[in-house]
Amino acid sequence: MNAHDVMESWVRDVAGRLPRARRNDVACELRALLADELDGRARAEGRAPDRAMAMDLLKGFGTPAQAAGRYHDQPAIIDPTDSHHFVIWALGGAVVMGVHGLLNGPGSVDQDLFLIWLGILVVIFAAMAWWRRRRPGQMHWKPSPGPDRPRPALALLAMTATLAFPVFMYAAPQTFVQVMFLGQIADSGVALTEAFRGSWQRVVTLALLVLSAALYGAEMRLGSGRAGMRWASIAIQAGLSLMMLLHAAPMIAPSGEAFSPFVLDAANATSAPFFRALGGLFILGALYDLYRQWSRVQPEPEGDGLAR
Amino acid sequence: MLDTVLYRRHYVSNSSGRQMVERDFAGLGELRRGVLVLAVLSQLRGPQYGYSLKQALIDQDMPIEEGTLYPLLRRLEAQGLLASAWNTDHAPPRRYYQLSPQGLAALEALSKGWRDQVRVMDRLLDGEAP
Repeated sequence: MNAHDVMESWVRDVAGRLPRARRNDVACELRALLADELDGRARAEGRAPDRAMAMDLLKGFGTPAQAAGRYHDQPAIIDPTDSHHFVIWALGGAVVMGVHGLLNGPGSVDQDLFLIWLGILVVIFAAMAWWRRRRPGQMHWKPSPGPDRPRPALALLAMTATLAFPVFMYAAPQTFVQVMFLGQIADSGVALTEAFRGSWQRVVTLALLVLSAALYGAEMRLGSGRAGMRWASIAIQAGLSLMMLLHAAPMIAPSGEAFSPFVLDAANATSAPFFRALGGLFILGALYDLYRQWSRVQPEPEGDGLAR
Repeated sequence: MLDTVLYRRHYVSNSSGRQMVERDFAGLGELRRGVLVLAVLSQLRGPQYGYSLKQALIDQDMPIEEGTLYPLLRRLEAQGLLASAWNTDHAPPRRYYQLSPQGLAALEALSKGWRDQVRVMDRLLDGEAP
């Protein structure tokens, strides 16, 4: 392969990466320019051009992909500014699938699901990038009050809902059914076993649920900006996830006897997947809050400051 | 160590064929990139093809990497600042570029902006009050 062949090959590879409408014209110009460049170099070095000289010349232009990139600025499918969020969402999906597989067995997660999830993310992020490119110069940002803004009304609603729903339902399921359905439905389906009534698992779960409601009460008064409250919320969610998972399988009393929450086997069979799902949701909630705690913005200077 | 961070060597051949070795301060490279468009436009009041333009710039101590210059000509043409035409009388055929009326206006505006910047920078560097 002589110098001419090397340059022809390079021009062909560059042109092949350009839009069809422009490639022949650019190839023709590049070919002429490279010939001029090579002639100039041969004159400067006082010898005939050869393959090594051509390769050295082409180094200045870069690889065909680099050269083509300068002629035709292809937009990235995913905006570089979105890379961080793309990775976070991809990992988030992997964590959800991992938790699901952990709780329901490895076979419960389709092997291709993660690839499908990545494909969905690529489409969504590409659409976002395309939308932004269509509106250059527009401010794609809105100010937000931030995570520490006191939201007493929301905290009150959350506290009331926690007390009315999980705490009440868990503490007295039969009364809860009577109240909810105005006595129209038999409550025997949710009757608790004696062993479960007095179990430490029930006491701990109830305590965690009450603590969760109390935390909303504290948030109502103090806001959510305190680190101690955020860590308490993570700990409560982690504790509740563990307790829910314990509820999904027969529990063991100190005497060694196995027991289930409900008297009826059908109720236990029906509730087990719900307890498992709740356990999974609490794990994910705790992991999400951990991530938010880890990625929390706390403006402060780094280093030792100016030397005096 | 500082020397390798701040400087890099690169080689340029000029029209008389000699090799110049240039010690390029990294910040100087940035400065040059910033005025690249102005430098190119300034040399295209008359028709030039890519290689002749590159040589003209080198002869005036404004070396530009070939991989940067040739695509830049296409970009400026796409922006309407340059007009181009093939000259097929020559073998191989050459594409000649020249300022369009819009390019001429851009050159004047950029020249004025550049001179204003030079005045400001001179003042800053000399520590004078405005």
